[in-house]
Amino acid sequence: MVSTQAKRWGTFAAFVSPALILYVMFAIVPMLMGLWLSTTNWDGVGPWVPVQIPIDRFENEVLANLNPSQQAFLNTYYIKDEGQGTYRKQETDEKSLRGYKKYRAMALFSKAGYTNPNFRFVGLANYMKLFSSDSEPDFWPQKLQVVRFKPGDPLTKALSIPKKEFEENFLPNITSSYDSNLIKSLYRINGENYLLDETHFPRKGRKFSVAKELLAQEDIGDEWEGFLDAVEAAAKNSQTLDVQAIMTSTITAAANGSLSPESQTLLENGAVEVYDAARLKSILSSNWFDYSNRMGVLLFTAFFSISNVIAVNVLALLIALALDRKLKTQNVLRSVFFIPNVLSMIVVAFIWQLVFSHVFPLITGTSRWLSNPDVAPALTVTVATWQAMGYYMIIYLAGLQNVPQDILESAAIDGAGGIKRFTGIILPMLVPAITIALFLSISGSLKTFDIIFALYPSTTSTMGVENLTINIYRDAFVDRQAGLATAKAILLMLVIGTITGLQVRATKKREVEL
Amino acid sequence: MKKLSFVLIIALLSGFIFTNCKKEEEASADAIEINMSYYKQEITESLPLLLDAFSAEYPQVTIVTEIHPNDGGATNAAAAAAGTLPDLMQQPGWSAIIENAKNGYVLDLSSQPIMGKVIDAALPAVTYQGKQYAVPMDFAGIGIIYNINIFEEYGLEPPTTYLELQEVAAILQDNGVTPFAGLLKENWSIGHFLSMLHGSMLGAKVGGEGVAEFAASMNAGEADWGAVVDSEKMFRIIDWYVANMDEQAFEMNWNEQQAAFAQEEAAMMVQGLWSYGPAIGTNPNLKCGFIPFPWSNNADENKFFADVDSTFTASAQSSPAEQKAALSFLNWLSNPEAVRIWTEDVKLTSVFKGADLSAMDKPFQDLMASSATGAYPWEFQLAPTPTWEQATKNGAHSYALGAATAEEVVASINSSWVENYQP
Amino acid sequence: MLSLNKDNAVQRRKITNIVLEVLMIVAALIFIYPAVFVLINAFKLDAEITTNPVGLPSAFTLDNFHRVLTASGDGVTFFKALFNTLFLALVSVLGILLFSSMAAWAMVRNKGKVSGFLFAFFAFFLVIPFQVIMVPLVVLATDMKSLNLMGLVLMYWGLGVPVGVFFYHGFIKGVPASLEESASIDGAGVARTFFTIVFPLLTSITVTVGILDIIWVWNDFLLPYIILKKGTLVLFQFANFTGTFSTDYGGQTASLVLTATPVIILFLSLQRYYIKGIAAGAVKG
Repeated sequence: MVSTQAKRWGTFAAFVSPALILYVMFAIVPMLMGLWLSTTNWDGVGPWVPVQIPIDRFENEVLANLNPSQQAFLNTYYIKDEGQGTYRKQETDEKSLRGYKKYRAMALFSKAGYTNPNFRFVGLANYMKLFSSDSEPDFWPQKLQVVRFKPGDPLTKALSIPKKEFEENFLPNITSSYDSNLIKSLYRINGENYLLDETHFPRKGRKFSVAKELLAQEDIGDEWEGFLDAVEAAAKNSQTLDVQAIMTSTITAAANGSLSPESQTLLENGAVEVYDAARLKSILSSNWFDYSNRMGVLLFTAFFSISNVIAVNVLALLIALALDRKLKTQNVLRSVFFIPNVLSMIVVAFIWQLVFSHVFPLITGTSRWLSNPDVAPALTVTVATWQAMGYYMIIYLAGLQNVPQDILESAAIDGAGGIKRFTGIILPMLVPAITIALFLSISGSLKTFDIIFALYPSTTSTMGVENLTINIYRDAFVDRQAGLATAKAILLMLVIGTITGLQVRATKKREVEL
Repeated sequence: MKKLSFVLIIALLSGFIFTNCKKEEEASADAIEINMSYYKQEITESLPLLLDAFSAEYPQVTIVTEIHPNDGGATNAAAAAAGTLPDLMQQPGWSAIIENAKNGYVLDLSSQPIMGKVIDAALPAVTYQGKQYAVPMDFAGIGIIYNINIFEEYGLEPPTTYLELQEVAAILQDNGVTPFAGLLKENWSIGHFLSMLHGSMLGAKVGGEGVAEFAASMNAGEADWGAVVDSEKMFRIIDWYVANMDEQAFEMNWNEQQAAFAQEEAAMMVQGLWSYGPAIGTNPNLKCGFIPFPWSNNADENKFFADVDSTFTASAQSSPAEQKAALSFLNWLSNPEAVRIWTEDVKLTSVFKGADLSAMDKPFQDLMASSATGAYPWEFQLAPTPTWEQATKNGAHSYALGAATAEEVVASINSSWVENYQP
Repeated sequence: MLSLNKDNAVQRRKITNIVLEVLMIVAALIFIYPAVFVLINAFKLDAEITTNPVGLPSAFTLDNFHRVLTASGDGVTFFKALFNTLFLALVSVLGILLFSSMAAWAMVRNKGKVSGFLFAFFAFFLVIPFQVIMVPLVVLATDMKSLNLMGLVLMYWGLGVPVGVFFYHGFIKGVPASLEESASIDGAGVARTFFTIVFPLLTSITVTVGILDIIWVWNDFLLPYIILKKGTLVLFQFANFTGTFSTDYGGQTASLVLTATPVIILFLSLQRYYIKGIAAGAVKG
């Protein structure tokens, strides 16, 4: 009896060990190491053991504090290079400082009192940094003010302002009544737009043609810029109807008696262009703006995951229901819907970039899609759903196969409508499939990296489409803070674990046993 | 069925072992093989020509290459940790060199003969704490690549001042030609532009050494990035630049900017000279010139924002024999044949004194001719990595989108620089 | 009365089916349209891809494919890279299938606390984001000198068995133990029982997990990227054409088409087993 038990456990162990050992070695141990790394300040690239160390430091600081056998150990790997003035770490295939030897070397260095600036234990500092209020502003939602007209923009951008923009984002923002009246006098409504009264600003009157004239004057010459800048500054700061007086006094002050009367007149005439336009530009750039929301990393991660999970599952279920009916082209259709799942993320991003920049504008008339931060989050969900849907469709198709046809048919004969059949029979029997699909889609969307990264390789944070995994990648490989990045990853892991754990418990309770 | 699968597996395994097995080389006493890594994908076909010429002179040395794409040095770091750093490495200048030198990965080359053959303007980019750790190879610049045909069609001269540039753009607009091909879908190009303006303005005020001093005081937290230049003017130039791009600029990535320029829909593009090659590839009939972006109304202040682009370094982990072979390659690089191959076949400029560039296309000649009178160093190479990647690039991009103000961008660069500086 | 209802129902069903079929065909076409882009562009000349990305090729050319197939970046040709990827995918997947089926079978046939704990232990994997382990994996591989193809295979084994165990576990629960019991009565050893009797019964779930894992390994980008020398995997042909700042869309699209095709063909030919497998393994699980 005992021997059969032992034999049984023996076989059990033999069968389970390969998978278990591999899993522990390549998933669990790295995870634990990640936990360890999150308590260090490692930047991800610096060496753990010095590659080169100046001769005097090595001999006096390190070797001096170790016993002979420890010294011998280090000396096998470090050779003195007089030409360079350092001890160099030399590795060949036979003798290399890796594995436990590397950790031994690290221990020896720290024992000798040599601190490695690249790799220090910092305890929970990384975690504290995450929770302190000022460290990560783009973690939290922000309401950004988006400027429609920048100080340096040409007036041509304000020649025609759409009605909505003018009435909601421009006029109401103007606080001074003088400015307000000025704008109202300069803009006239014409259909869907407010047009600028151009007689006041002839397009030919550009600053540089004025400048060229002034440049040609002997007593002005290179100083033209200074004069026009002074006029512009005066224009921005004054609020009076007597423009001429302001200009004259500004120019006179700037000239300080060095200009001939002819030059002065030329300057005043030319500066009129600058003055009025500068006034208008100043009003436009201070008052024409809109608000745009950025979700921030945390909210976007939540938004993306929730939307993706809902979209993918609903779509997959609907298509699975439609395809479950023994249609003639069933096999082909199934494959077609599954193909996106087979493509790599680079391909998918490439495809959709073309579609968004060339096809969508043709169909809808709006030209900015991917580069519009207000719709960018929704677009990432769309692309991710397109890519993943086929996989979940298969799961639901499989689940539908388990629904007995005869029960459905008798229900149909008894007069139960389509919807009643769905909610009463199909849905309850689909619960196992739904459990799996939810579990996989929730953890999958929380961990999404490839597809968003491929769509926005460098601009995830400015576009507001940075989720937690991309943020972590950015920390590790762009900002060179591997310790901090791993700390965040550990927290993410806890979140995923909690959510999926709760979800599985909740849905398992509702399973219908056959 | 089972037997078949077993046979298949055995076949595959043996095939794999066969193709990947390291053959033990029976090397003769002097012959030595060393490894070289490079990151510029464009030179994949032409680099072997250079190496063959070297082997012709030094037959006992064979150089085997491998490509390490520009991934911020992560491959390098992994190789260094594994002790498998290639004996020779092509590295970008400045920050990569500083990092390699700091971590001890590369050899000090100050006393090698080759360093004396390098033009002075190229030395700062490979210097760390007074010593040189790399051989600079080519000079790259960021400026305006312009279409000569379009300019001639409208009777335009390449602008030398900001005023002239504005006029050129206005004339182009009036004639329905987009002045600048835009690239605002990604953040690096507008980041370069911001850094170029700042670095040039600063360089004009304090000279090349002054820029390095400024970086040092930024490291110490004693300087204000926005206060050292006329920031208002700087951001106004950005506004003007963005306003003179294609309307679809925000949707355009690098490939589309190329296309617009190559198809002659836009007359200019502000880019590094590396963009010239692909543009010519798309449209071989293009005639281009290269000028510094004239941000100043004083023509003398408008110099190229140019610096050493790629360098060669030698690994500190090589055996003495490998090191000797690597150094012999480095010292050979100023050889006229080497320079010829580098400029004609590899199509990159050369920073060796007296290099003959007459076989290169006009834009390259424009760059080197102008740089003889001076260039502004690439300030962004001196900033800590996160400051350049996040605060500058993303800051410029946000600003262009209208989502950040100039003050916010400057403040974020200031705080990021101090926070992330590591001595 | 009853028969009339049935006839009506059948009639209604037929019409709904036809309407549905048409609808689904249209939906499928719209759905797949974006992917057709890549296919069309692979047949265009490079210059035309930038000038005319949307339309049909004016000059149908196989030039891009030719370039991808003959290019050699540092001595790694397309076919060598393909062979490496095939090796990687097949050996990884076969290993995963073998080890997870063994473990799952042992766990199902030895119900108890230990098995329950192990199952949860394996399922825990699905919660770990790759970012936690990506840097440590490189460090460990460096230490073990396994920054090569074989090392990568081992990693895929370790990372793939949890999901494999998950699926096999569910499926095997539905396989009656009677056949195994009679075999053991006849004196067959455990190993023999497993390989000759049990494993053949697991065909559909094996196909399912196999396809899932092949797609995963074939398309995986980040892990091979940080572990291997560039150019040894088919996907890396992509890297051959994308330098620091340049893009060769023709080469990219052609190589992407070439690398996606095998997996598509694999799925098309085996989809029936695949779905049956998921039905039995995942859903019942």
